Amino acid sequence: MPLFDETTLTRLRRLRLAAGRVQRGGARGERLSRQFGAGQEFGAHRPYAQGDDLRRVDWNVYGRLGQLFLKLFEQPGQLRVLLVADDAPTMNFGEHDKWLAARRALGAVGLIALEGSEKVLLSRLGQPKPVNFDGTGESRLLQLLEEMPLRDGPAASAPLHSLFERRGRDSVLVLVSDFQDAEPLLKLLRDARRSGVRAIAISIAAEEELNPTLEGFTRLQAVSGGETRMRVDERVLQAYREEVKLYREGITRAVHAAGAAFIELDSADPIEPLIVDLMRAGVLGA
Amino acid sequence: MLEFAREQWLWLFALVGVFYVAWWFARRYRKQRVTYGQIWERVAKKVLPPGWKRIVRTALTLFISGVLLSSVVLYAAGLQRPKGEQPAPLVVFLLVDNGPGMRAVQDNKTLAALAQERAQQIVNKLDEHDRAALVWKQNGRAVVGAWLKHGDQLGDAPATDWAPGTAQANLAGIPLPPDIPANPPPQRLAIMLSERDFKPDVGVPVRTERFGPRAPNDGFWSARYLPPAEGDGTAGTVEFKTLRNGKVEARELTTGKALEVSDGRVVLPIQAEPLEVRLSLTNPDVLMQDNTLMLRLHPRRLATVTLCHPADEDPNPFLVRTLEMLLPGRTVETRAVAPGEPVKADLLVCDRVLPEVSDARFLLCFGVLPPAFGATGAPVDARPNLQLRVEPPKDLGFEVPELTLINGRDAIPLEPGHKLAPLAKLLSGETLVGVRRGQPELLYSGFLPHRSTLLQDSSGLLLLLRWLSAIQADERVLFPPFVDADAETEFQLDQQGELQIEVARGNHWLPSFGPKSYRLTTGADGRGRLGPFAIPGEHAVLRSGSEVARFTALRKLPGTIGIDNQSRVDLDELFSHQVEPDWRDYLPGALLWIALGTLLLEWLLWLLGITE
Repeated sequence: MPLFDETTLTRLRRLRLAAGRVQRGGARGERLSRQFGAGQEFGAHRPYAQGDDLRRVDWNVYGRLGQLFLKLFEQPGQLRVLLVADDAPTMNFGEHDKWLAARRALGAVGLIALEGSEKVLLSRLGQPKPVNFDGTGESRLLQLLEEMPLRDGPAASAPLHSLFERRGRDSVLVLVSDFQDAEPLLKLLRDARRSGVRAIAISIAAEEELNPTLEGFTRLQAVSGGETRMRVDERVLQAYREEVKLYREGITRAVHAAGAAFIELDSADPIEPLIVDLMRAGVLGA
Repeated sequence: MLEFAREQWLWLFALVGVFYVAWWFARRYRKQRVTYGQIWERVAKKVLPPGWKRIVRTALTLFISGVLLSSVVLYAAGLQRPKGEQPAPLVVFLLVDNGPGMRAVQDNKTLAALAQERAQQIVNKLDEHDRAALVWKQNGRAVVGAWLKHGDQLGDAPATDWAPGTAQANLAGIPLPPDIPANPPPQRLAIMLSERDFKPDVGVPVRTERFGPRAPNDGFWSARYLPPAEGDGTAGTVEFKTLRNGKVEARELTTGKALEVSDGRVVLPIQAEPLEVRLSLTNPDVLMQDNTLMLRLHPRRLATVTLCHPADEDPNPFLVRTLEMLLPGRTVETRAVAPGEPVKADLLVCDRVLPEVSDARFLLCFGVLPPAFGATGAPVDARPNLQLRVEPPKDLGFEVPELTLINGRDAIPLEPGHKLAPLAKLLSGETLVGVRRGQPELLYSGFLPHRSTLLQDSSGLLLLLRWLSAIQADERVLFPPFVDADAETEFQLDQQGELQIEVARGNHWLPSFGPKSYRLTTGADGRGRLGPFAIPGEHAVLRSGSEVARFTALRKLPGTIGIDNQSRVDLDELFSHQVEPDWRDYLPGALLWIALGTLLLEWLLWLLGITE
């Protein structure tokens, strides 16, 4: 299923144009940058992919290894946008699927960032192996997001942590999760702060888990495992809503304590307002 | 150890129970996928009561449900003791006496109603497998009613049966109802409910219950109507007999006048109105149906006679005497005709003058005729044997004597075109004497009484006598007002006829078995035979659907109703075959009460906060 329909993509392109105009206005290069790009200082190699600029192929490496690699140069002022999706099983929930909403959010941010010639890295918590994208990798980014699976086991954020230590500055971490298993996420955010990476946490929730409409004798099977049998009535629902509210308030405080910005997003909400908010906050296109 | 009367209910409840349990569990364990599993666990710990409270309440609920359901199942399936332990069913035949004596009244109820109440009491005492059946007599034969069980309503008592004797039936051969157990064999018993003292032989043991205190019964059992003799000035006489020679009073109902009763005779007066006489016993007794006797006679009686004469003359005394002689018992009123003065009488005699306004059923006119029937001519002298011989009409209703010997001066013939049947004519063909049958009855005579030999000649007097007899004659008088219900009674009508005889609506014995309608055809000479009748009392005689007469069929009833030695059947002893109830009889009810008690306990525990 495609992440965006044509209408949404059109609106996102308009936002990308706006973001491009802002960047071309002279903001680039003013940042402290240690990013790879089309600058003068060599940064790293990455395998060639269809659509990449052949002028950037490192023919020396091809001569030695017989494989195409692109030479990536650090571009002064280029921002590294690290997109991280929480692929916990609890994300697969709701009439408006949280996992789909999360991928849409990351896709929109990624598209805007690529338009601004920023460096984009995409990863998920279950398999934290970031994939790099430069200005020509939009279709790959969307394809990867569309095919991104949910994880079966626990999250493992160690490789991302190592990435922060190496290239923490000039980086922005955009983490999308429902924060139901908050501990590894908060650790990730704290690591980002220690590495000097700006972090933005987007919390996605479905209407069904905030205001459930259950009634009567019910066997509650948690997506994360476990089962509770009880007769659900208004008293139970009221207690549940209060507990959820307290939990989410606790998450908000913890995220802020980890030095990250916190944005709450309903899985049924449209994606454009989120992008506008991020642009106004200077995370994108500023 | 356990047997059920309706075992299929067990299977039905089991099926319902399976569906219920399946539904309950499906509802109990409805799955729902949720997130925030830890929060749901915390909420569950917060809102759910402790486990032991839930266990206690669930256990109580299951116990109450189980016990309640068991009780319902046992009630529905009919838990009963094994057939071997059950008492032999009792089959009771209730022989209800429905003879006429049972219509006697005691304490404002008939003995038949009392017997029916007693039968109902017996039915109400029946055990589950006991059955009863009413047995009554119908047209002399025993009839066994439908099988009755506990709680059935008997309805009204059987109608009265007049057949003599006691119904004999072999009740031992009556097939038993199929819905009672055949093992052990049912016991048959008959209970006789009667006011008489007899014990019928019906093939099974009979226990008798007699009731109705001994009381004398008086009533009419024989009566005879004697038509009036010629010239006795009465409407006849009734002779009657009663069972105990009690005092009888008689009253004419139309006028309300009491009639004199002496030596079993009542002389009936002549009156213009319909004669309805009721004879009744002065002192009522227990059986009231035979205490009254009705006599209804024809209303067309000639009671009042008025003679109109010219105002300038005195009434003709010879004519007055003649009329009084021909109509004995009646007074002839004379009146000079005055213009515009109305005259009303049964018989209006017009001697040469005609009142302007009159109301009479019979008209005797001398020399004048109401214009509606013709006109009179000029006076002529009528000489004897100088008249035409006239053949009178055949349907005249009386025989016309020879009138040719009458002579008179100034006789007034009728003008041609009159509407009377001529009885005597002049040689010139003009009518001197004419008659009209129907309403009003009219006899015209051109012979004037004071100027002719009409009242001196035997033929003239004979004409008047026969005409007066004819207009007073009626077939109702010919029909006997009283007949013996058990014998044939001969009667004579004036002509052949087909009659329908029905029990009259007001007959006190109407709710009785037996034919209530008869068809009767008289012989060519009008003679016929009546009776015997199954039901006594008043009957109506219909001709072509119209009632033409009534008569009463009389039957001699017992002079004593009820008995001295009354006996009652001890119903407790009769139904003592029932065994004492044991736990199987109490179990369904006990379970119900246990369930209700536990339900109360559960409610109290919840109220006290012990369970949630």
